[in-house]
Amino acid sequence: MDLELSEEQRLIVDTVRRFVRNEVVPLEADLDPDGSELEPADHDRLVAQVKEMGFYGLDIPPAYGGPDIDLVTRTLMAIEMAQHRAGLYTPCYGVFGGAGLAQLFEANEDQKQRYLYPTLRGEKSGFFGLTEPSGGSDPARAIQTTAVKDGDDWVLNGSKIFISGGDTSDYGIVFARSDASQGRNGITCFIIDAGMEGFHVRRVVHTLRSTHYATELQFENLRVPAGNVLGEPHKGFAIANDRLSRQRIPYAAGCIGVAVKAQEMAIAYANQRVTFGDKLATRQAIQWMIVDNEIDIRTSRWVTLAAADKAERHQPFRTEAAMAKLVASEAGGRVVDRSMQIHGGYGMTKDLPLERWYREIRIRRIGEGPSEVQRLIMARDLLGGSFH
Amino acid sequence: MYQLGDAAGEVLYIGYAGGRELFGLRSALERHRDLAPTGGTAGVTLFRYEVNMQYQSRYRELLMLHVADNGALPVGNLNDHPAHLGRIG
Repeated sequence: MDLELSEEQRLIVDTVRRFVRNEVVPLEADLDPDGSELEPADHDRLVAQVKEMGFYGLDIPPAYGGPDIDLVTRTLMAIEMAQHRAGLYTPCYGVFGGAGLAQLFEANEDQKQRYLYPTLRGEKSGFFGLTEPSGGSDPARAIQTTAVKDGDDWVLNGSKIFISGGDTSDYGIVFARSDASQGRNGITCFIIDAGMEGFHVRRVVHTLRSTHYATELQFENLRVPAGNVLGEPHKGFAIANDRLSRQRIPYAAGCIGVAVKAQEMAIAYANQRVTFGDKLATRQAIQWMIVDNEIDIRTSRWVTLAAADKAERHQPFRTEAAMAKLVASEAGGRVVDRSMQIHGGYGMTKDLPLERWYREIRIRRIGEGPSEVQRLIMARDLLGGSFH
Repeated sequence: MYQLGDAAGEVLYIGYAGGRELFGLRSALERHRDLAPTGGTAGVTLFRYEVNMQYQSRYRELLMLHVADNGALPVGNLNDHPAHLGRIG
Protein backbone atom coordinates (compact mmCIF):
# COMPACT_ATOMS: atom_id res chain seq x y z
CA MET A 1 0.00 0.00 0.00
CA ASP A 2 1.43 3.35 -1.05
CA LEU A 3 1.05 5.82 1.80
CA GLU A 4 2.39 8.77 -0.21
CA LEU A 5 0.05 11.15 -1.98
CA SER A 6 0.32 11.14 -5.74
CA GLU A 7 1.52 14.29 -7.46
CA GLU A 8 -2.04 15.00 -8.58
CA GLN A 9 -3.42 14.51 -5.07
CA ARG A 10 -0.77 16.82 -3.64
CA LEU A 11 -1.66 19.48 -6.19
CA ILE A 12 -5.38 19.21 -5.47
CA VAL A 13 -4.89 19.28 -1.71
CA ASP A 14 -2.62 22.33 -1.96
CA THR A 15 -5.15 24.10 -4.17
CA VAL A 16 -8.00 23.49 -1.72
CA ARG A 17 -5.79 24.49 1.22
CA ARG A 18 -4.92 27.80 -0.43
CA PHE A 19 -8.57 28.40 -1.27
CA VAL A 20 -9.66 27.82 2.33
CA ARG A 21 -6.91 29.97 3.83
CA ASN A 22 -6.96 32.80 1.29
CA GLU A 23 -10.63 33.01 0.37
CA VAL A 24 -12.77 31.49 3.13
CA VAL A 25 -10.99 32.24 6.40
CA PRO A 26 -10.67 36.02 5.79
CA LEU A 27 -14.44 36.32 5.29
CA GLU A 28 -15.05 34.83 8.73
CA ALA A 29 -13.48 37.86 10.40
CA ASP A 30 -16.68 39.79 9.66
CA LEU A 31 -19.18 37.01 10.34
CA ASP A 32 -20.82 36.15 13.63
CA PRO A 33 -18.65 33.52 15.40
CA ASP A 34 -21.54 31.08 15.21
CA GLY A 35 -22.53 32.06 11.67
CA SER A 36 -23.05 29.53 8.90
CA GLU A 37 -23.92 31.70 5.89
CA LEU A 38 -21.76 33.94 3.74
CA GLU A 39 -23.09 37.14 2.27
CA PRO A 40 -24.83 36.08 -0.98
CA ALA A 41 -22.35 38.05 -3.14
CA ASP A 42 -19.38 36.37 -1.42
CA HIS A 43 -21.01 32.96 -1.76
CA ASP A 44 -21.63 33.42 -5.48
CA ARG A 45 -18.10 34.69 -6.04
CA LEU A 46 -16.55 31.67 -4.32
CA VAL A 47 -18.84 29.25 -6.16
CA ALA A 48 -17.58 30.75 -9.43
CA GLN A 49 -13.98 30.21 -8.29
CA VAL A 50 -14.66 26.60 -7.33
CA LYS A 51 -16.28 25.96 -10.71
CA GLU A 52 -13.26 27.47 -12.41
CA MET A 53 -11.02 25.11 -10.41
CA GLY A 54 -13.15 22.21 -11.65
CA PHE A 55 -14.15 21.08 -8.16
CA TYR A 56 -17.84 22.02 -8.09
CA GLY A 57 -20.26 19.22 -7.21
CA LEU A 58 -17.48 17.01 -5.87
CA ASP A 59 -19.69 14.11 -4.86
CA ILE A 60 -21.78 14.07 -8.01
CA PRO A 61 -21.00 10.95 -10.08
CA PRO A 62 -19.20 11.76 -13.36
CA ALA A 63 -22.16 10.41 -15.35
CA TYR A 64 -24.21 13.27 -13.91
CA GLY A 65 -21.62 15.96 -14.50
CA GLY A 66 -19.43 15.59 -11.42
CA PRO A 67 -15.68 16.20 -11.64
CA ASP A 68 -14.69 12.49 -11.44
CA ILE A 69 -12.37 12.66 -8.45
CA ASP A 70 -11.77 9.41 -6.56
CA LEU A 71 -13.03 8.98 -3.01
CA VAL A 72 -9.58 8.98 -1.39
CA THR A 73 -8.79 12.34 -2.97
CA ARG A 74 -12.23 13.67 -2.06
CA THR A 75 -11.59 12.60 1.53
CA LEU A 76 -8.28 14.47 1.50
CA MET A 77 -10.12 17.50 0.15
CA ALA A 78 -12.82 17.20 2.83
CA ILE A 79 -10.10 17.27 5.49
CA GLU A 80 -8.87 20.57 4.03
CA MET A 81 -12.34 22.04 3.54
CA ALA A 82 -13.16 21.72 7.25
CA GLN A 83 -10.21 23.81 8.39
CA HIS A 84 -12.01 27.02 9.30
CA ARG A 85 -14.37 28.21 12.01
CA ALA A 86 -17.61 26.95 10.47
CA GLY A 87 -15.88 24.04 8.74
CA LEU A 88 -17.18 21.14 10.78
CA TYR A 89 -20.82 21.51 9.80
CA THR A 90 -20.55 23.96 6.91
CA PRO A 91 -17.31 23.16 5.10
CA CYS A 92 -16.44 26.19 2.97
CA TYR A 93 -20.03 27.38 3.46
CA GLY A 94 -21.20 24.95 0.80
CA VAL A 95 -19.45 26.66 -2.10
CA PHE A 96 -18.18 23.31 -3.41
CA GLY A 97 -21.81 22.37 -4.08
CA GLY A 98 -23.49 19.18 -3.04
CA ALA A 99 -24.68 15.99 -4.62
CA GLY A 100 -27.95 16.05 -2.74
CA LEU A 101 -29.24 12.82 -1.30
CA ALA A 102 -27.25 9.87 -2.61
CA GLN A 103 -30.36 7.65 -2.73
CA LEU A 104 -31.79 9.74 -5.56
CA PHE A 105 -29.19 8.37 -7.96
CA GLU A 106 -31.03 5.05 -7.58
CA ALA A 107 -34.41 6.65 -8.31
CA ASN A 108 -36.42 5.97 -11.48
CA GLU A 109 -36.23 8.44 -14.35
CA ASP A 110 -39.45 10.23 -13.45
CA GLN A 111 -38.23 10.77 -9.89
CA LYS A 112 -34.84 11.92 -11.16
CA GLN A 113 -36.55 14.48 -13.36
CA ARG A 114 -38.61 15.81 -10.47
CA TYR A 115 -36.03 15.69 -7.68
CA LEU A 116 -32.47 14.70 -8.61
CA TYR A 117 -31.79 16.94 -11.60
CA PRO A 118 -33.28 20.08 -10.00
CA THR A 119 -31.15 19.31 -6.93
CA LEU A 120 -27.98 19.00 -9.01
CA ARG A 121 -28.84 22.32 -10.67
CA GLY A 122 -29.18 23.90 -7.24
CA GLU A 123 -32.89 24.54 -7.69
CA LYS A 124 -34.14 22.19 -4.98
CA SER A 125 -32.89 20.68 -1.75
CA GLY A 126 -33.94 17.67 0.25
CA PHE A 127 -33.76 16.29 3.79
CA PHE A 128 -33.15 12.76 5.04
CA GLY A 129 -35.88 11.59 7.43
CA LEU A 130 -34.93 8.43 9.28
CA THR A 131 -34.67 9.04 13.04
CA GLU A 132 -37.83 9.08 15.14
CA PRO A 133 -38.51 9.95 18.78
CA SER A 134 -38.38 6.20 19.40
CA GLY A 135 -34.75 6.02 18.20
CA GLY A 136 -32.39 6.37 15.28
CA SER A 137 -29.61 3.84 15.70
CA ASP A 138 -31.85 0.83 15.21
CA PRO A 139 -34.18 1.94 12.44
CA ALA A 140 -35.44 -1.56 11.68
CA ARG A 141 -37.10 -1.66 15.09
CA ALA A 142 -37.44 2.03 15.96
CA ILE A 143 -39.48 3.26 13.01
CA GLN A 144 -43.06 3.77 14.12
CA THR A 145 -44.21 6.07 11.34
CA THR A 146 -46.78 4.07 9.42
CA ALA A 147 -47.48 3.91 5.70
CA VAL A 148 -50.82 2.41 4.72
CA LYS A 149 -51.75 1.73 1.11
CA ASP A 150 -54.97 3.49 0.11
CA GLY A 151 -55.87 3.08 -3.56
CA ASP A 152 -52.90 4.26 -5.59
CA ASP A 153 -51.54 6.29 -2.70
CA TRP A 154 -49.82 5.65 0.59
CA VAL A 155 -50.97 7.46 3.72
CA LEU A 156 -48.25 8.34 6.22
CA ASN A 157 -48.71 9.10 9.91
CA GLY A 158 -45.98 9.64 12.46
CA SER A 159 -43.07 11.89 13.31
CA LYS A 160 -39.35 12.32 12.75
CA ILE A 161 -36.82 14.10 14.94
CA PHE A 162 -33.28 15.50 14.59
CA ILE A 163 -33.92 16.18 10.91
CA SER A 164 -31.53 18.72 9.42
CA GLY A 165 -33.11 20.97 6.82
CA GLY A 166 -36.63 19.75 7.46
CA ASP A 167 -37.85 23.35 7.52
CA THR A 168 -35.96 24.64 4.48
CA SER A 169 -36.06 21.70 2.05
CA ASP A 170 -38.36 21.33 -0.92
CA TYR A 171 -38.69 17.58 -0.45
CA GLY A 172 -37.45 14.79 1.76
CA ILE A 173 -36.66 11.10 1.75
CA VAL A 174 -38.69 9.49 4.51
CA PHE A 175 -38.78 5.96 5.85
CA ALA A 176 -42.00 4.47 7.16
CA ARG A 177 -43.22 1.09 8.35
CA SER A 178 -45.39 -0.35 5.60
CA ASP A 179 -45.69 -3.88 7.04
CA ALA A 180 -45.68 -4.13 10.82
CA SER A 181 -45.07 -7.88 10.77
CA GLN A 182 -41.85 -7.84 8.79
CA GLY A 183 -39.23 -5.92 10.78
CA ARG A 184 -36.53 -4.59 8.46
CA ASN A 185 -38.39 -6.05 5.48
CA GLY A 186 -41.42 -3.95 6.23
CA ILE A 187 -39.98 -0.49 5.71
CA THR A 188 -40.64 1.60 2.61
CA CYS A 189 -38.77 4.69 1.45
CA PHE A 190 -40.84 7.62 0.16
CA ILE A 191 -40.04 10.94 -1.46
CA ILE A 192 -42.38 13.52 0.00
CA ASP A 193 -42.88 17.13 -1.04
CA ALA A 194 -42.75 19.72 1.71
CA GLY A 195 -45.86 21.29 0.23
CA MET A 196 -47.98 18.15 0.62
CA GLU A 197 -50.98 18.49 2.90
CA GLY A 198 -50.26 16.85 6.23
CA PHE A 199 -46.56 17.73 6.32
CA HIS A 200 -45.70 19.79 9.38
CA VAL A 201 -42.52 21.24 10.86
CA ARG A 202 -43.48 21.09 14.51
CA ARG A 203 -40.46 22.69 16.14
CA VAL A 204 -36.84 23.68 15.99
CA VAL A 205 -34.65 21.36 18.04
CA HIS A 206 -31.86 23.43 19.59
CA THR A 207 -28.59 21.64 20.15
CA LEU A 208 -24.98 22.33 21.16
CA ARG A 209 -24.35 23.95 17.81
CA SER A 210 -26.01 27.32 17.43
CA THR A 211 -26.51 27.00 13.70
CA HIS A 212 -27.59 24.00 11.67
CA TYR A 213 -30.34 23.20 14.10
CA ALA A 214 -32.49 20.13 13.73
CA THR A 215 -36.25 19.95 13.34
CA GLU A 216 -39.07 17.73 14.46
CA LEU A 217 -41.49 16.79 11.71
CA GLN A 218 -44.99 15.38 11.85
CA PHE A 219 -46.99 13.61 9.18
CA GLU A 220 -50.76 13.73 9.57
CA ASN A 221 -52.55 11.64 6.97
CA LEU A 222 -49.87 12.67 4.52
CA ARG A 223 -50.96 11.24 1.17
CA VAL A 224 -48.05 10.17 -1.02
CA PRO A 225 -48.57 8.93 -4.61
CA ALA A 226 -47.23 5.47 -5.39
CA GLY A 227 -44.94 7.12 -7.91
CA ASN A 228 -43.04 8.63 -5.00
CA VAL A 229 -41.93 5.30 -3.56
CA LEU A 230 -38.15 5.18 -3.85
CA GLY A 231 -37.08 1.69 -4.81
CA GLU A 232 -39.53 -1.09 -4.06
CA PRO A 233 -42.17 -1.15 -1.34
CA HIS A 234 -40.97 -2.82 1.89
CA LYS A 235 -37.33 -2.66 0.80
CA GLY A 236 -36.45 0.75 2.15
CA PHE A 237 -34.18 -0.49 4.92
CA ALA A 238 -31.36 -1.34 2.52
CA ILE A 239 -31.60 2.19 1.09
CA ALA A 240 -31.21 3.68 4.56
CA ASN A 241 -28.42 1.31 5.56
CA ASP A 242 -26.31 1.93 2.47
CA ARG A 243 -26.35 5.66 3.09
CA LEU A 244 -25.36 5.27 6.73
CA SER A 245 -22.08 3.48 5.89
CA ARG A 246 -21.10 5.84 3.07
CA GLN A 247 -21.80 8.97 5.08
CA ARG A 248 -19.36 7.94 7.82
CA ILE A 249 -16.26 8.63 5.69
CA PRO A 250 -16.81 12.37 5.00
CA TYR A 251 -18.15 12.67 8.55
CA ALA A 252 -14.80 11.40 9.83
CA ALA A 253 -12.89 13.66 7.43
CA GLY A 254 -14.54 16.76 8.87
CA CYS A 255 -13.43 15.80 12.37
CA ILE A 256 -9.86 15.33 11.14
CA GLY A 257 -9.85 18.71 9.41
CA VAL A 258 -10.85 20.55 12.56
CA ALA A 259 -8.30 18.57 14.59
CA VAL A 260 -5.53 19.47 12.12
CA LYS A 261 -6.36 23.17 12.39
CA ALA A 262 -6.64 23.04 16.20
CA GLN A 263 -3.23 21.36 16.39
CA GLU A 264 -1.73 23.98 14.07
CA MET A 265 -3.08 26.70 16.36
CA ALA A 266 -1.85 24.91 19.48
CA ILE A 267 1.69 24.58 18.10
CA ALA A 268 1.79 28.23 17.05
CA TYR A 269 0.55 29.38 20.44
CA ALA A 270 2.92 27.08 22.37
CA ASN A 271 5.83 28.55 20.42
CA GLN A 272 4.70 32.09 21.16
CA ARG A 273 3.26 32.20 24.67
CA VAL A 274 5.74 32.80 27.49
CA THR A 275 5.01 31.75 31.07
CA PHE A 276 7.38 31.85 34.02
CA GLY A 277 10.14 33.09 31.75
CA ASP A 278 9.95 30.53 28.98
CA LYS A 279 7.77 29.46 26.08
CA LEU A 280 4.97 26.97 26.63
CA ALA A 281 6.62 24.76 24.04
CA THR A 282 9.48 24.07 26.45
CA ARG A 283 7.11 22.55 29.05
CA GLN A 284 6.84 18.78 29.01
CA ALA A 285 3.12 18.94 29.88
CA ILE A 286 2.52 20.95 26.72
CA GLN A 287 4.86 18.85 24.57
CA TRP A 288 3.01 15.70 25.50
CA MET A 289 -0.35 17.25 24.63
CA ILE A 290 1.02 18.26 21.23
CA VAL A 291 2.38 14.76 20.66
CA ASP A 292 -0.87 13.11 21.75
CA ASN A 293 -2.72 15.43 19.35
CA GLU A 294 -0.48 14.33 16.51
CA ILE A 295 -0.95 10.64 17.31
CA ASP A 296 -4.72 11.14 17.32
CA ILE A 297 -4.65 13.03 14.01
CA ARG A 298 -2.43 10.57 12.17
CA THR A 299 -4.36 7.56 13.45
CA SER A 300 -7.64 9.11 12.35
CA ARG A 301 -6.27 10.10 8.97
CA TRP A 302 -5.00 6.67 8.03
CA VAL A 303 -8.01 4.78 9.30
CA THR A 304 -10.29 7.12 7.34
CA LEU A 305 -8.23 7.01 4.15
CA ALA A 306 -8.16 3.21 4.40
CA ALA A 307 -11.95 3.18 4.55
CA ALA A 308 -12.16 5.52 1.54
CA ASP A 309 -9.70 3.32 -0.36
CA LYS A 310 -11.76 0.17 0.20
CA ALA A 311 -14.99 1.93 -0.75
CA GLU A 312 -13.33 3.28 -3.89
CA ARG A 313 -12.26 -0.23 -4.88
CA HIS A 314 -15.84 -1.49 -4.29
CA GLN A 315 -14.73 -3.79 -1.50
CA PRO A 316 -16.79 -4.26 1.68
CA PHE A 317 -16.02 -1.25 3.85
CA ARG A 318 -18.65 -1.25 6.58
CA THR A 319 -16.18 -2.09 9.35
CA GLU A 320 -13.62 0.40 8.06
CA ALA A 321 -16.22 3.19 7.77
CA ALA A 322 -17.48 2.53 11.29
CA MET A 323 -13.91 2.50 12.61
CA ALA A 324 -13.09 5.75 10.82
CA LYS A 325 -16.16 7.48 12.22
CA LEU A 326 -15.51 6.20 15.72
CA VAL A 327 -11.79 6.99 15.79
CA ALA A 328 -11.96 10.39 14.09
CA SER A 329 -14.88 11.73 16.11
CA GLU A 330 -13.40 10.68 19.45
CA ALA A 331 -9.83 11.68 18.57
CA GLY A 332 -11.00 15.00 17.14
CA GLY A 333 -12.73 15.80 20.40
CA ARG A 334 -9.58 15.06 22.36
CA VAL A 335 -7.44 17.20 20.05
CA VAL A 336 -9.75 20.20 20.29
CA ASP A 337 -9.95 19.78 24.07
CA ARG A 338 -6.15 19.68 24.48
CA SER A 339 -5.68 22.60 22.10
CA MET A 340 -8.17 24.64 24.09
CA GLN A 341 -6.26 23.75 27.28
CA ILE A 342 -2.99 24.93 25.73
CA HIS A 343 -4.63 28.26 24.80
CA GLY A 344 -5.82 28.83 28.36
CA GLY A 345 -8.46 31.53 28.75
CA TYR A 346 -8.31 32.57 25.11
CA GLY A 347 -9.33 29.06 24.09
CA MET A 348 -12.73 29.58 25.68
CA THR A 349 -13.47 32.89 23.98
CA LYS A 350 -15.35 33.50 20.78
CA ASP A 351 -12.25 35.34 19.54
CA LEU A 352 -10.95 31.92 18.49
CA PRO A 353 -12.80 29.06 16.77
CA LEU A 354 -11.81 26.50 19.41
CA GLU A 355 -14.89 27.03 21.59
CA ARG A 356 -17.19 26.51 18.61
CA TRP A 357 -15.35 23.35 17.58
CA TYR A 358 -15.42 22.15 21.20
CA ARG A 359 -19.23 22.32 21.22
CA GLU A 360 -19.76 21.04 17.72
CA ILE A 361 -17.32 18.14 17.73
CA ARG A 362 -19.02 16.70 20.80
CA ILE A 363 -22.05 16.10 18.59
CA ARG A 364 -19.89 14.02 16.27
CA ARG A 365 -19.65 11.20 18.81
CA ILE A 366 -23.42 10.84 18.57
CA GLY A 367 -24.43 11.99 15.08
CA GLU A 368 -24.44 9.45 12.23
CA GLY A 369 -24.55 6.68 14.83
CA PRO A 370 -22.96 6.99 18.28
CA SER A 371 -19.59 5.43 19.12
CA GLU A 372 -21.31 2.51 20.80
CA VAL A 373 -23.24 1.66 17.65
CA GLN A 374 -20.06 1.85 15.57
CA ARG A 375 -18.53 -0.71 17.95
CA LEU A 376 -21.64 -2.86 17.59
CA ILE A 377 -21.34 -2.76 13.80
CA MET A 378 -17.68 -3.77 13.93
CA ALA A 379 -18.36 -6.52 16.47
CA ARG A 380 -21.01 -8.00 14.19
CA ASP A 381 -18.60 -8.05 11.29
CA LEU A 382 -15.69 -9.41 13.31
CA LEU A 383 -17.64 -12.08 15.17
CA GLY A 384 -19.79 -13.07 12.22
CA GLY A 385 -23.52 -13.27 11.92
CA SER A 386 -25.99 -10.99 13.59
CA PHE A 387 -26.75 -11.00 17.28
CA HIS A 388 -28.77 -8.92 19.71
CA MET B 1 -32.06 37.67 21.73
CA TYR B 2 -34.29 40.70 21.69
CA GLN B 3 -37.51 41.94 20.18
CA LEU B 4 -38.55 45.54 19.59
CA GLY B 5 -42.21 46.50 19.49
CA ASP B 6 -44.51 49.48 19.16
CA ALA B 7 -46.91 50.83 21.74
CA ALA B 8 -49.61 48.39 20.63
CA GLY B 9 -47.31 45.45 21.29
CA GLU B 10 -46.69 44.59 17.65
CA VAL B 11 -43.23 43.14 17.11
CA LEU B 12 -41.28 45.37 14.73
CA TYR B 13 -37.89 43.70 14.85
CA ILE B 14 -36.27 40.49 16.04
CA GLY B 15 -32.51 40.45 16.53
CA TYR B 16 -29.63 39.10 18.52
CA ALA B 17 -26.48 40.45 20.07
CA GLY B 18 -23.92 37.97 18.81
CA GLY B 19 -20.31 37.28 19.58
CA ARG B 20 -19.06 40.28 17.60
CA GLU B 21 -21.03 42.92 19.52
CA LEU B 22 -18.49 45.00 21.45
CA PHE B 23 -20.77 45.53 24.44
CA GLY B 24 -23.35 42.84 23.79
CA LEU B 25 -27.02 43.77 23.95
CA ARG B 26 -26.23 47.41 24.69
CA SER B 27 -24.32 47.82 21.42
CA ALA B 28 -27.08 46.18 19.41
CA LEU B 29 -29.76 48.42 20.90
CA GLU B 30 -27.68 51.55 20.48
CA ARG B 31 -27.41 50.79 16.79
CA HIS B 32 -31.21 50.72 16.51
CA ARG B 33 -31.44 54.00 18.41
CA ASP B 34 -28.95 55.64 16.06
CA LEU B 35 -30.79 54.38 12.97
CA ALA B 36 -34.28 55.25 14.17
CA PRO B 37 -34.34 58.87 12.89
CA THR B 38 -33.64 57.64 9.35
CA GLY B 39 -36.34 55.00 9.35
CA GLY B 40 -35.06 51.68 10.60
CA THR B 41 -37.10 50.78 13.63
CA ALA B 42 -38.77 54.12 14.26
CA GLY B 43 -41.82 53.87 16.52
CA VAL B 44 -40.27 51.41 18.93
CA THR B 45 -41.45 51.83 22.49
CA LEU B 46 -41.29 48.27 23.83
CA PHE B 47 -38.38 45.93 24.26
CA ARG B 48 -37.87 42.43 25.62
CA TYR B 49 -34.97 40.05 25.68
CA GLU B 50 -33.85 36.57 26.62
CA VAL B 51 -30.39 35.12 27.17
CA ASN B 52 -29.71 32.14 24.92
CA MET B 53 -26.40 30.49 24.01
CA GLN B 54 -27.95 29.10 20.83
CA TYR B 55 -28.75 32.57 19.57
CA GLN B 56 -28.39 31.75 15.88
CA SER B 57 -30.95 28.95 15.88
CA ARG B 58 -33.21 30.78 18.34
CA TYR B 59 -33.09 33.87 16.07
CA ARG B 60 -34.27 31.81 13.13
CA GLU B 61 -36.88 30.09 15.24
CA LEU B 62 -38.38 33.38 16.41
CA LEU B 63 -38.51 34.70 12.84
CA MET B 64 -40.19 31.50 11.64
CA LEU B 65 -42.71 31.61 14.47
CA HIS B 66 -43.50 35.24 13.68
CA VAL B 67 -44.14 34.35 10.04
CA ALA B 68 -46.30 31.39 11.10
CA ASP B 69 -48.37 33.58 13.41
CA ASN B 70 -48.56 36.74 11.30
CA GLY B 71 -47.99 35.67 7.72
CA ALA B 72 -44.97 37.92 7.26
CA LEU B 73 -41.68 38.92 8.81
CA PRO B 74 -41.58 41.85 11.27
CA VAL B 75 -41.34 45.07 9.29
CA GLY B 76 -37.82 45.74 10.54
CA ASN B 77 -36.63 42.33 9.35
CA LEU B 78 -37.92 42.58 5.78
CA ASN B 79 -34.46 43.50 4.56
CA ASP B 80 -32.57 42.01 7.46
CA HIS B 81 -33.03 38.26 7.79
CA PRO B 82 -31.14 35.01 7.04
CA ALA B 83 -30.83 34.10 3.40
CA HIS B 84 -32.49 30.72 3.87
CA LEU B 85 -35.23 31.07 6.41
CA GLY B 86 -37.28 27.92 7.02
CA ARG B 87 -40.93 27.45 7.84
CA ILE B 88 -42.66 26.11 10.92
CA GLY B 89 -46.21 24.95 11.55
